[in-house]
Amino acid sequence: MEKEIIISARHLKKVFGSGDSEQVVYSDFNIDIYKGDFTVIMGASGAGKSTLMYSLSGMDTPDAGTITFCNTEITGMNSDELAVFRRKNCGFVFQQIYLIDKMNLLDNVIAAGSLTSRNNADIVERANRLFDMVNIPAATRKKLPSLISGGEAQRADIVRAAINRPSAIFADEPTGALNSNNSDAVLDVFSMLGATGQSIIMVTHDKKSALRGNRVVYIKDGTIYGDCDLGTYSADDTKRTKRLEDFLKEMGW
Amino acid sequence: MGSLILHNLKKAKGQFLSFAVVMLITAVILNTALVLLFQTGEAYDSLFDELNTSDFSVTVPSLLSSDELLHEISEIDGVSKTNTHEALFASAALQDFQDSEFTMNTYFYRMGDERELTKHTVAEQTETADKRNAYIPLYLSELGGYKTGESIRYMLDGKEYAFTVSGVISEMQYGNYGTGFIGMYLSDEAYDALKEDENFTSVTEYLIKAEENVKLSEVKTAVSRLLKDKNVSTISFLDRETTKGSRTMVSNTIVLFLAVFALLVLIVSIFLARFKIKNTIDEEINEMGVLKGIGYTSRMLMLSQVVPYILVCGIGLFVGIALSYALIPVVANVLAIQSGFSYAPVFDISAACITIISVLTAVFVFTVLASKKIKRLEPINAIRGIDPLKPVGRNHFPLDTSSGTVGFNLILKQASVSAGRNILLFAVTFVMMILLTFTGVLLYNVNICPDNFLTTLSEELPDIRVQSDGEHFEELKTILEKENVRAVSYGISMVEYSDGSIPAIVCEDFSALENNIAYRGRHPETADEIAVGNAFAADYEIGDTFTLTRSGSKYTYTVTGYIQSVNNNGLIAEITDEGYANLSDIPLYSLNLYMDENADIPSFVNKLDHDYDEYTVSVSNASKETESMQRMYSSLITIVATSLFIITVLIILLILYVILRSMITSLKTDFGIYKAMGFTSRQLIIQTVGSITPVVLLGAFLSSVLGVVYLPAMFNGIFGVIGAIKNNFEIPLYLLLIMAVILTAVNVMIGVILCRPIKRITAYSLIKE
Repeated sequence: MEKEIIISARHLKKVFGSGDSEQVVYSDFNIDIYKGDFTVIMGASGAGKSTLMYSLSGMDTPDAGTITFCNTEITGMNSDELAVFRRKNCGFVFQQIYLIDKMNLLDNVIAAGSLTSRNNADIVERANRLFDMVNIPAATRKKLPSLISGGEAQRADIVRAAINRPSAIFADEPTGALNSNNSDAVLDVFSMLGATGQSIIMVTHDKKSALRGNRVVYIKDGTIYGDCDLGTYSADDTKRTKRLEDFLKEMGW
Repeated sequence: MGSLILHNLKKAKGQFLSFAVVMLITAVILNTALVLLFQTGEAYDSLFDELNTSDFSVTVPSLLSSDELLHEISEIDGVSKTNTHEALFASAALQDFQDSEFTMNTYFYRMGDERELTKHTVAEQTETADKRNAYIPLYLSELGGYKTGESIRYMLDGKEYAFTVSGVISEMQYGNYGTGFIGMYLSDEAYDALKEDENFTSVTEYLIKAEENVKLSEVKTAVSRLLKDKNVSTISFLDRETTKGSRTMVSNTIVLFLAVFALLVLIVSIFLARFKIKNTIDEEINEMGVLKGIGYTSRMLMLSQVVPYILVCGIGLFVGIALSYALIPVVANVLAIQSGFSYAPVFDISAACITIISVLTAVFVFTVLASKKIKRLEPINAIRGIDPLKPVGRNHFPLDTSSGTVGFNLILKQASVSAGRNILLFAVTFVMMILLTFTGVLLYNVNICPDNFLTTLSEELPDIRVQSDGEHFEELKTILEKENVRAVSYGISMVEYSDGSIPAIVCEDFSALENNIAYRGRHPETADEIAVGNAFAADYEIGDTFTLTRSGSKYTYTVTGYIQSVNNNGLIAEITDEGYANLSDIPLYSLNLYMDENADIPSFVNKLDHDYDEYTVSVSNASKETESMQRMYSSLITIVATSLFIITVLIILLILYVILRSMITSLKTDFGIYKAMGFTSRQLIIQTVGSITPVVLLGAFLSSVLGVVYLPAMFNGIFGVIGAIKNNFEIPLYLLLIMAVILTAVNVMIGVILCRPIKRITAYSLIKE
């Protein structure tokens, strides 16, 4: 069965700076992201992984080219139209913890949930289900972000990203600032979400994180240098690690 | 160190610019108030001396033995020089005074007479073909609207007296009507024509200059005693202090008004600087930790916060003081309309020093206090962003349990985040509301309900004043009764007391009057009672005795209360008709007439003039005088109040700019997160403006409701300076509440405009930074 394309980017161009300091990140970039995939974007530092991800999600605007997201072209939208589009279609998890520090975890999630629903009870119920799923106890949900661990905060961030059942969750190095235990817990959450059919696009440098995806896209010199199908994630699949290592070796990692 | 200060200045240049503008406004207002305070009185004294104006002037009906009286006065100890002027006196109705009629006690002098004392200077003149010409005081020219070359007309006893204005003069004695007398200077032809007219009383003005080292009051008492001994009744007895007080009355009020305004703006500015420094410390705690770590001392860091404010404040003050000199002549000219003398204000180093030192000291003290927190920051904690003194935040208005929409609760959450910001907003709104309600209520009482203002500053305001005579007085009263016009016997007569001569209001029944204010005690009711003006309040208790003399008759009354009088500097008394009979066998035969609200006053004046001509000596339309006065005060107060209203809105704009920019800077990350979630700029602008609105609303409404308490005190304080101890101002609560709504609406509108930079914050900027 042919996979459904959720995001399609054509002839993307992104340039930083101008004149002598001009830096072309990519000039004619094309990619399709499929529904239900856990797509991992990898590449060397400065390859334009995050830039690509934020362009695909409508957080940043490419200089040229088109992006079609859920059959809607988003490249012509203004910032408020993009904001409204993001409510329903995108969830974000960043490397830094970007929770609003004056609100407890539950309120951070409800604030996002309120953008797509007026049913507060329903939002709270969904939030609590997701908190249960990411293993954040009820008492912690009522704490301010400054009073919890980085792992808990990042998991709360994932809950917020998932609260509106977005078409895709975008994660930018989500384990980059976490220790090993917390990283595993966060990656488990992504895997659980992936298993439910949630489309995930994750940028990472970390091989262990990349293993969780079913597709790994390697970017180099402004193009897709390699595209690897890892298949569905399973913790017991040892061959998977070898496949990824071989792919990355081939890419010059 | 210098580079750190420069860095701090550059980082928030827009907000420092706003602070500089607020300081500039403070300096403009404060320096203007101080220059006028220092120089108006000084300019008056200087012109007074330049024109060799007498210390006292006593005007009496011309006597055969005037030389003898002059000689006796000059023999009094302490008198250095005496002089007399001949004049003609009449209480004449000046026509076309601001397109109305104004009855004034007027002394008509001969312009060509030699003067040794109380000279005058010609400020403006023109050649006229008419030989019956007149020189008028600046007051009549500026306020009355009489220009050189134009005609000036009086009506007296049904007869018209017209002159051509050939010039404007400046003199220090009868130059405005604050004393209840005004001077006119006629050509020989005009003067000689009036001299033959029985409507004018020939009078002699005795001018007395006292020696420099003597007490003026002692000389005045001696002159007064001499006049009493010789049974000479006076028409007016003025001293330099009374004249000066009446001529600088409005000026003093405006100066006080401006000083209070400047003080309130300064208080707000200090709150603003304090808030901004505390906010900066919170925002830049990591940076300060790093600086402490590399060796910067707390003192250096505190100075890096305080010095930019001092620099900006200093620049604002210097520019403000310089700019105030563009405003001061304008204000001085406006004040000259009422005071009747003009002067050119000059640079005043004392005013500039007081402005700079007082404002800089206040800003320095409060910014140092606000920056003291830096001392308590430990470098490593600060680097980690930990402020040990900052309490752990609370999750206010939890979204899962609070009633109301999430959007509404997000607004409340944001509103409850910063106590410092809320205190500042509350204080600014409260103080700005004081200024707005003060100016608003003043404008209301001057323009919407002008009677409230007029009755505060004036004496009794009847509709018509009628002078009759002994033969027809009772008949006239009967006629008026038939005409359904309420008539009250009311007149003013000059009487002497131990220290000089004062006007005494004589009335058959003070309770029948409409605007006689006894601010303590009560009006006299019997022949033995007297109420005195506020100038006597310090020396005469209620129940004390007070002796009056008139034409040799002397009577001692009991003080029953204190009455309000602005025009006479509180030197006034009131007695009943029976009380006056103790001093004079001849009643005053004057009446105040009060008509129904919709009555045709001019027609009735006309009727009195024509149908009842034989019963009246003179009739004047007092309601027209009231209108003139109202126009005079209304234009002056409206200009000042409207200017202050505009400045207040400007200050609100500048302060909101600083507060909102600080908010946007400190919430930049949050806004990025909200935008990443899918919040639009519009939602965030509404959320931000909404978060300041509850505090603004609370401050505005609390201030407006409390205005019912503090505004009377403010009005009493300011108008009390000029003798209006008790005022009749209405302070309608609905007006205050409307102003609170307007202030809140203005805040919201300005807030929406100032929050537009939120549009430029992108979710992506979170990551890029």
